Amino acid sequence: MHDDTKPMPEEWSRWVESLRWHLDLVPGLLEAMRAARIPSAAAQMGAERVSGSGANGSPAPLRVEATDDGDLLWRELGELLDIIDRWFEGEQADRYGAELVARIATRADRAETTARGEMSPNLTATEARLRGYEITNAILDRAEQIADRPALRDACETLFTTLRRLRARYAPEAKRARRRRCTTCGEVAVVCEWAVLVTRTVARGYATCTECGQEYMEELWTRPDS
Amino acid sequence: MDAPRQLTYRQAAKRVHRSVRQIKQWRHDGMPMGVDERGRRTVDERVLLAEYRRRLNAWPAHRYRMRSRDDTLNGPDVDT
Repeated sequence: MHDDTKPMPEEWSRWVESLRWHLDLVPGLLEAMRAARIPSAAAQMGAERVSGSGANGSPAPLRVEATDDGDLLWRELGELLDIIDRWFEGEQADRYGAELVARIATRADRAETTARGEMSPNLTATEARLRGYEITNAILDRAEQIADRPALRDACETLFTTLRRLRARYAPEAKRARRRRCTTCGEVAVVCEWAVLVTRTVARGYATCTECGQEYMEELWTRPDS
Repeated sequence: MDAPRQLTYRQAAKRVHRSVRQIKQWRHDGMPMGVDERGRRTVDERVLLAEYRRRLNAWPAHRYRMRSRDDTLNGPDVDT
């Protein structure tokens, strides 16, 4: 009775829409991870006291996982931006060589990235969010060109996997992409997600109308631009 | 996935923008409903929405409206 799932209309399941959905998560995630770095309100007031030490040493004054995840996302964003910039400058990026070290050093000059490509500890949550908007806008400006180039799409897919994992941990209620008009009830109420996992790394397009409950599934094998 | 909600007549009517009387008519037409611990008739939200979609798809006026909207959005067909 409920199995009336429709194939997702082609224009909804374009790869660019998936890119936009994932990158929309970035500013909120950076802010959430930055804010989650400080363990408690008491720590923000300077009342944090680390006393004594067990067999494993003193506890860290910051949440290590949130800090590490923030650095990971920051590094991946920087690398992706570099890859895209290099590609459009006419050469393929070298992700591991001496060139990468040089590029990270260039970014470190801007005082928001450390010499190891991590987010600067001085960056506040609000600043991280604003910088997230700048980076994602720079990528989205070239979304159509990226979608036409398989090498760049692969680079983005790596970031997508990280983003989906971080979203589940830090921002499960993160902003959804714009809604589409339902082909069953006609209301603009269809929410598209690209986070229904097929395997550990591959996600599948999935959409539901919040008004009439109509479900749409992206047919991966018939996707014209994949 | 959220757990399916059980809706009373009034809640069901509000959910699909129909009257209570129409929901009662849907039950007469075969939509499965249950009874909660307070003796009220309830319907599973998924069942209600599936019936709602079935009726929308079987409603010629609604299909016509949807087609007209699609034509407006996509522009008129041009024969070449």
